[in-house]
Amino acid sequence: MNLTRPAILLLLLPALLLVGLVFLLPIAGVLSLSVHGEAGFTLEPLRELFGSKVALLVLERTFTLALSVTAICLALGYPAALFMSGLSSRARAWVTYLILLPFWISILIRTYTWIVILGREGIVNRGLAAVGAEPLQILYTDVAVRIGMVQILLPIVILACLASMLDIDRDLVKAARVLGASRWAAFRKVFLPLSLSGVATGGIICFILCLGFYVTPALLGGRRSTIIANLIDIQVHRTLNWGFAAVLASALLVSTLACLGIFRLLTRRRAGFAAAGFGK
Amino acid sequence: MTAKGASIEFREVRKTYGDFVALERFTMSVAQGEFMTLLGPSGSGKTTALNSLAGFVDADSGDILIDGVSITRMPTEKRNIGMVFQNYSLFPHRDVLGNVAFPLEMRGVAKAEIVRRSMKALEMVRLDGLAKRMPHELSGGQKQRVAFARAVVFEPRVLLMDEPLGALDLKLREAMQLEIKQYQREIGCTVIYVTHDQGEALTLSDRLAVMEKGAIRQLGAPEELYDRPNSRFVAEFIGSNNILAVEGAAGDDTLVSGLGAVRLSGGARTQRGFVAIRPEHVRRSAAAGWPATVRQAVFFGDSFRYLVEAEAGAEISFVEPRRAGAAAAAPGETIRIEFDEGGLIHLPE
Repeated sequence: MNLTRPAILLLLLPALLLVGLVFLLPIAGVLSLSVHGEAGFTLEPLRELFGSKVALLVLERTFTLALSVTAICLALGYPAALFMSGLSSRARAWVTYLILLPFWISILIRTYTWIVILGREGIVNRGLAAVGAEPLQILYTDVAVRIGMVQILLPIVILACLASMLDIDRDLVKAARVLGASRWAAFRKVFLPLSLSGVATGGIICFILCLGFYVTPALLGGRRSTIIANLIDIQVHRTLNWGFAAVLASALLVSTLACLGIFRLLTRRRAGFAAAGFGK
Repeated sequence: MTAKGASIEFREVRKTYGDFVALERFTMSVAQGEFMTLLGPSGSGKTTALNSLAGFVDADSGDILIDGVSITRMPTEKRNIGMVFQNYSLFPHRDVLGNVAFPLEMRGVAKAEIVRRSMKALEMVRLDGLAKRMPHELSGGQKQRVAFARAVVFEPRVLLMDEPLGALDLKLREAMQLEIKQYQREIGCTVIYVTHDQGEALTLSDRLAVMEKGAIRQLGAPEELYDRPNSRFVAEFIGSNNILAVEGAAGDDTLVSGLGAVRLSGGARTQRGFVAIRPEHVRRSAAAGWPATVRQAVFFGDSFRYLVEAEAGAEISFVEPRRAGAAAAAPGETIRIEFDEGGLIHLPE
C-alpha cells in the first residue's frame, strides 16, 4: 500500500498527540521542575542530589540491582530459549503459552505470593525446618527482590533470545558441522554469535525495566533494598519535596540514556570485530 | 591441491519419516574422482541420500562406506566431507576469508598456514581480492564461489553439492556449471551432486542416477540415459520426448496408439509399454511418411518447434532447424513427417 505523506501524518496523528500529551509534556514538566524553584530558575535540587549520600547510594544500588537481575535473567533465559528453538513449532507454541501464563496474574499478586513462599513461616522455611535446618532470612533482603524481579522479567528475556535464535538459518549450523566443527564448536563459533542480537535486545529491555521497578523492591525488600523509584515515591508522598523527586527522576533518565549510548557503542564495536573477522 | 577422490558406497540404505519412505534400499557405488549426480523431482530422496552421507540424518538401516570404511557411526565433523549448500550457507558474521578459513580453524591448522591455504582457495575461484568483504556484500555468483572455496579448502576427498546453483539466474548458472566442472578436475575429489535440473545433470556428470520415490530408476552415463531411457519416468524427466502407448505387434512392426505401425529402434518387438521419440528425431518429409496437421509453429530463432497431430490422433512435437530458403509450415497446413532410423525407443514401463 502506498500512502501519501499527508495521509501518513494523519494516520500517525492520534498516536503522536497521545505520546506528546501524556508522555513528552510531563517529562518536560519533570525536567523543568528539577531546575525551577519558587523564585524561578535554581540549581538547588541538583546541588541537593550531589550533596545527598543517600541519593547517590540509591542510584548506584539501582544500577547494581538492574545489572545483576539482567545477568541472572540472561543466564536462565538463554538456555531456556535454546531449548525452545529446538522444539517443533507446535510444541514451541505450547511452551510459549506456559511462559506467558504468569502475565495473566497481576505483578502485585505474584509479588505477594513470594511473601507466602519466602516468609519466616513460608514454604521454604517450613521445608527447611522439616529437615532440621535453620530457617533462612530471605524475605526483606536483596535476594528476595532479585527472585521476584527475575520471575517477572524472565519471560521477556526468553522471548527476545528465542526470536533471534529462530532467525538463524539452521543450515549454518549444519555447514559448520560438516566442515569440521563439533557440536560445541558449531554452537560457539556460529550459533552463539548470531544469537547475540537477541541477547542484547532482551538484556537492554530487561535492564531498563529493572531501573523503573517499584512494587517488587517495596514489598519484598528491606530498608537496604530501597531503589530509586522508591526514593522518588518517598519524596513525592511523604516529604513532599517535588523538586528533589524531579531531579532524581531526571538523573535516572539521563543515566539510562547514558547506558543505552554506551551499549550502542559497544555493540557497534562488536559488529566491527565481526566485520574484521578472522585474522584480527 | 593434490587430494584425490575417495570411493563411496551406499548399501541398501533405508530411511523413513513416519509413513513417508525417503530412501528405499538405496544402493549406489561411486568411483574415486567420479562426478555423480542424483537427479530427481523434489521428494525423490536425493537430498536424503546426501544428508545421510553427510551425517545429518541417520539411516534406519543399511550402510554407507567411504573408501571401504563404514561411516554410519561416525559424527558429521569427523567424516571429512566438503559440502556446498543450496543457499550458500555462508556465515554472515564472518568475512570471506573467515568463512574459507573456518574448516582449517576447526582442524587446528596453524594460523599462518590457514591464511596461506585460504588465500590459495580464494585465488582458485578468483576472489582473492574480496577476502575482507562480508557475505552480504557479495553477488550470488560470488557467494557461490566462496561456498565452493570453503568446501574444498581442507582438501576433502568427497565433495557434496546440494542444488548449489538453484538460486542463480540462468546465464550465471551456465557459467558456474563450467567452473564447477573445471575446479573438480583440478582438485580430483569425488563429487556427489544433487539437482532437479536435468540440463545441469547432463552437462556436469560422469554418471547420473535418476531417482523417484526413494529409489534409483536408472543409473548411467548422460548419453546412455538420454539415448536409452529404461522407463517412461526417465524418458520424461530427461530432455523432452513424445511418448506414445504400444497397442500391439504386427509382424516386425509395433502398433502405436495414435500413429500406426512403426519399426522400433534395434528391431525391438513388444506388445506393451511405450515408445519414446525425441523431437530432434522427427523430420518433415516431401512425399513419404505420416500425414499430420500442424497445430502450432513456434519460432525459436535458430529453429522452429512444431506441434502436429497425426491422422490417427497422436500429438507429436518436433524441432526443425532453420535453413536458408526453406519455408516454415503454418498452423492448419497438412505436412508429412518421418522418424530417424533408431529414433523410436521402446520403454518397457
